[in-house]
Amino acid sequence: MFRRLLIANRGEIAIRVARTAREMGVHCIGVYSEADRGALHRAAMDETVAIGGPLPADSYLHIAHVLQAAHDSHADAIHPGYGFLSENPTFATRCAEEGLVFVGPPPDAMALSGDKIAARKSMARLGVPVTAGVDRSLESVEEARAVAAEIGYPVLFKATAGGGGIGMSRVDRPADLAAAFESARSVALANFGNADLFMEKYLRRARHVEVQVLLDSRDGVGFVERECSVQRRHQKLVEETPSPGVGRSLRSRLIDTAVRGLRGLGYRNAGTVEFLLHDGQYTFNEVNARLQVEHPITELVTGVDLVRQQIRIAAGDGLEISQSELTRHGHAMECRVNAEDPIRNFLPSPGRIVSYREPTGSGVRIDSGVTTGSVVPPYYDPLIAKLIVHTRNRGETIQRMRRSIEAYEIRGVQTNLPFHRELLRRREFVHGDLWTTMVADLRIAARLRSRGPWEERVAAIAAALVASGQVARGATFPIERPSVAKWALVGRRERLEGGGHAVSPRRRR
Amino acid sequence: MRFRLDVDGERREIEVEPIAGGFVIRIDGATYRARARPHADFVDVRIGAKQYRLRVQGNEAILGDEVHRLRIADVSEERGAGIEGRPTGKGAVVDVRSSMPGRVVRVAVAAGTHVRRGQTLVILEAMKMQNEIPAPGDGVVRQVAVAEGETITADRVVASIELGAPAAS
Repeated sequence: MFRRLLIANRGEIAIRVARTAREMGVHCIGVYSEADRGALHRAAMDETVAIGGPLPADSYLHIAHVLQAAHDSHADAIHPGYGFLSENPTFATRCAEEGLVFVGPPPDAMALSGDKIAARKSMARLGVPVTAGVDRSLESVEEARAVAAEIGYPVLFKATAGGGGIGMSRVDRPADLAAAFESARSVALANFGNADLFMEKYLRRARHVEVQVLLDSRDGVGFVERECSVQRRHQKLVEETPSPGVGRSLRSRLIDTAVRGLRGLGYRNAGTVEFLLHDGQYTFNEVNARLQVEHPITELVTGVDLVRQQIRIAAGDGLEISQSELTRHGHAMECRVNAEDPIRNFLPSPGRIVSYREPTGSGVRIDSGVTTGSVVPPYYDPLIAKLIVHTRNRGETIQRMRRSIEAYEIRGVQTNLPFHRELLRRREFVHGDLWTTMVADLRIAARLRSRGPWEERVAAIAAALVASGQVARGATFPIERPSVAKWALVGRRERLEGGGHAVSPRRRR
Repeated sequence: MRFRLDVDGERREIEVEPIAGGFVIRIDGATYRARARPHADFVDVRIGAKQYRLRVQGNEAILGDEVHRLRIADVSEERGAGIEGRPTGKGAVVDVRSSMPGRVVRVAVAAGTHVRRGQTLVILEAMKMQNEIPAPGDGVVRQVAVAEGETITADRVVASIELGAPAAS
């Protein structure tokens, strides 16, 4: 086992990885950009190192800076978390060259799974069903048109080097094909430095399910599927396990396929195989060569700490569990809490969190990167926390999630919690009738009118100020008729103003 | 009536429209219908099924067992004339502001550019999402106040536009 682990990430995932690593007696080294000088993840580490400017390219994505930090802090291993450098084969290779253990798959397996066409071909060779499409990059609009005519509209352009849903473009009609081809190429080039596209048949009303796999040099374990169909613009918003759309026999086929497929790629450590479910059939979608955002739901239903297994596999200590020992209890669900305003078309809402209070109780887990006083910078992903609940069955899980959303107070930035509240009320969701475009098809965000209990209180304050003529009188109010005891007011005011950012404005008497 | 309301350091753009028996309150796109009854020491406000009794003293509002620090600014009587409001009148110069903090990834116009309503002036990136800031009406760009690569705060003036018919293009 290594002694010093550098966690090359920020926010909730850096904190989550540090939690397990420290329990394993590993010394944790964090990194931070200039924008994250005051970030919460720094406090979760044994020590932290500055790695550059606020832009990701100058810090969390800067390979030389991250490696320098690892050397300066005498790290012997690096955990990349998700995003940033986690699926960058160059980074994994550089780590190996510098004598650092990379907590993730071997670089060649990562490169293979990151190249979408290569991954499709490998899976097809192993007998895994793949979505109808082409296994080469499309050189011209004419070639794309010919392929689309053959497999039938609607079709989906995908970036060969893509990931995270970026660079995908759906085409419904031949007339739209040329424009979509050009725009998807430019998006792919801008995001991945590679304009290559391929094409798949677009499946309407498909479910997105995925299987978490752990592989060490001897053994492999596949976990019960996660259902990730609730998405907006190909970004997952809610995940749950098990899927309400997968029965026992399909489940065992999915798990078997995922383990076999990843092993066929020469894969080791934690990885996920994504599938689309359509008309009772499943097809391979892609491989995620990293720990995933939604990994906690798998942890809750199985009791397995996936980060612990990742670290053990990387250190050569191997898996602690086998497929036959794996058990599963109940139903878990995760809502991603993003600093985005669902009422204003999910407009990013960076800023300072003036008040923060988490729901509590059994079966409620929060993986958060923020607290009262935290600044949510505009430079990074909008995910600030994950609300994860676990109960005996799906119905109770939905109830507990609803209650937890109501109890979750985040003020100072807008979040998508009102979206989750609305989603969990929808009949389709409650019935487990889920598909990848349901958020758009059901116009779930369009029906939102209010943001929740706190914003309603702001509205009440505004109404009171207008009704009593305070607004018309101007910007400041005269102090009049203190009907609350003066001492109480003085006390409150001191507590409100005295403690700087660390003091919650909410006060209980 | 429009104003800016700061509650515990959190700022909101508020628009209040009187209707029969109460108000419609709009906060950044959310809408609430409220009834308000002022008394000598407090105001009773009803929104939906919820009842709020508020005491406003000095710069504090006391609501139940909580105290909130308030600040009001930029009170205006006009409706829809504020920051994101629809501009009126030919020749009027309007400031176009950013609705979120972020990094300017592209400035698509320069002083003197003729623009049409909805045309992209500036592309702002925050949290890996790009947002286009559009022209609020047809006109001519008088000034561009931001540069590519610059990181700006919410509500910052990015450009000003003199309204009028754009040149035929």
